[in-house]
Amino acid sequence: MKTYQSSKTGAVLEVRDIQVSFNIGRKQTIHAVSEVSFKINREETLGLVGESGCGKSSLARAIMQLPPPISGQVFVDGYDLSAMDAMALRGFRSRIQMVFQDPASSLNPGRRVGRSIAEPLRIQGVKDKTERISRVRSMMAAVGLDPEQYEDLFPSQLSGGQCQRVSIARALMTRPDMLICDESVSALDVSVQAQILNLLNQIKVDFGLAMLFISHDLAVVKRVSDRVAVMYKGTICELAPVQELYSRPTHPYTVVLLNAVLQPLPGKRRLADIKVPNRNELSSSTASPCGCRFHPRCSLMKRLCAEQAPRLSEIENGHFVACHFPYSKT
Amino acid sequence: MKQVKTFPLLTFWIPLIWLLLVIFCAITAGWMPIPPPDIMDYEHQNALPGTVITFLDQNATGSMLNYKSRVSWLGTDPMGRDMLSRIIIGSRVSLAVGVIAPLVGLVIGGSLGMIAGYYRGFAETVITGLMDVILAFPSLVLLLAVGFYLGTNLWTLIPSLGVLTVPAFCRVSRAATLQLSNREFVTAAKMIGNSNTAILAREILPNVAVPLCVYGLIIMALMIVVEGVLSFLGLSVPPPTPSWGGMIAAGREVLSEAPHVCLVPATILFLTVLSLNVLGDTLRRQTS
Repeated sequence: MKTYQSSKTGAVLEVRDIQVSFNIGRKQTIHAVSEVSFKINREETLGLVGESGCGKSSLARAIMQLPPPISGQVFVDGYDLSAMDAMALRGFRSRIQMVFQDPASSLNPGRRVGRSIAEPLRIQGVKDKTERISRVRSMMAAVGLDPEQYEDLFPSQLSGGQCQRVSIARALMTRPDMLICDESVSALDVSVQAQILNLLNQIKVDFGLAMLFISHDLAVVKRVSDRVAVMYKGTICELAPVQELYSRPTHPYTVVLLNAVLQPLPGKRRLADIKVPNRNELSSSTASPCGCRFHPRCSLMKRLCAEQAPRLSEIENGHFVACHFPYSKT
Repeated sequence: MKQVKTFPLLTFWIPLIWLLLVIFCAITAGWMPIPPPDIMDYEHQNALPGTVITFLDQNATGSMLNYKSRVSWLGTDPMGRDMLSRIIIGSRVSLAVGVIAPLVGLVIGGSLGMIAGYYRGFAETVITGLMDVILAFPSLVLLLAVGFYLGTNLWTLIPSLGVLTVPAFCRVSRAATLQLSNREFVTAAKMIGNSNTAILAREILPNVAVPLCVYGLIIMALMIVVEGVLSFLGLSVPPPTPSWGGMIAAGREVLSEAPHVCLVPATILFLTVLSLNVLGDTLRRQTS
């Protein structure tokens, strides 16, 4: 088997024109993700927000090649995952790890958590038992779990937050370059959410990870991300550094999304002062609408929007938007 | 939090103790102080429980015929053979069929179901199709055919009954595997570099095994009843080897004058099957 060396420069993850669709029978296809491209660098977190069903999780699974995308390429450290055969992929996959939404379901219910964390070591062929135990213990300590107390417990005896810590520890055991968090804190209490987010920020720096943080919760994404991508019906409609996106959103959908967040102080000025009435016209996801995917729900829609799909283009340094008439506050 | 598991006396301990007693008797039958199951006392046919019977001691040496007498605790059958010893020896047939046949089905059906549920696609189509064929095949015809061509004995009966239980186990295991395959820990196992075989063996199998074994208890009960039915029809072990179903069949002829000949083995069979079902139900409730 070919060995893959990790290059410490450049983007850890690069996604190029990825396309995912599912056959749902009767010759109907769902276009879950179409033509999505982005890069994530080391020690950087890309937040991915969007309503449920917009293709966030399908994108994450496509990056892991579970299942592989219909077209497009995924590069990890410059290596094209979509070109690898099954054997090479199996070895390479451990460089991307994932933390899932459901804490209880992420761990084998019949296995003590200490052993779950040790699983990656078994696959790496670490035979020495004392080395295994010491590495598991130090990793448990690194994610904030007392090894003495939790090592021999079953997942059902742990709280949701503790299970997520175990999942993170297991993921880090493979020494990954990239961590995908798919709604990892959505199932947790708010106070526990904050703890896990702090932990994720910490390990990003400690382990030099590139992170893709998927969530529908804008406040959570704001807290962990360096850059944020907004997804709507399988495409990225806006991608910008976190401060920029939250203070000066330009895509009408981003504006709608940010306006939908409840403000802590009632009466306080909204993030954007235009109103984009949400006409709530949900078109089916099997039929790909022509033109901009958001045009049926957009109040700023013009004729061009229904005819031609806008491409994601850079309007400012690092600020990408896919809209013919991007909104600007000034 | 883990739910507290309770083991009630009536639905757990009593059936368990009864089953252990049956197993203990089947194993130690050879050393028990019971008359041989095929020795006849012509003076005490269809005797009531508690009658003293006499029989020839086969272990006696010398020219003198050596007669022994024993209390027949459960009476004698129409040929004057001691029912207690026949029930104890007969439990071996019931247990052999009840344990080995479901085991055959569990191993074959369980693994086929796991493969179908995990890989889906073509493998699933072939396996479920095969199971439908077995289910659609009239089982009695299969047993008659096997009995006719290969002879009626325990070692032709057990494999054919085993094959007939394969679809049931396959369905249970496929359903459980389908559910487990979508759980995140299976994806996580894939992500850390496990092969499909390793995932089946290490992640899926331990979680499928428990519901499968619990279901196995219920199939065990069914197999013991089926063996009884087959002996009744003469499709199980040939006489004079005792079996519970065969004893019930023998008692049928004297049902009006000596009902105990039929009722005693029937009660034992009933209690054993009931215990297996009750125990299986209790364990299923505890594990689901």
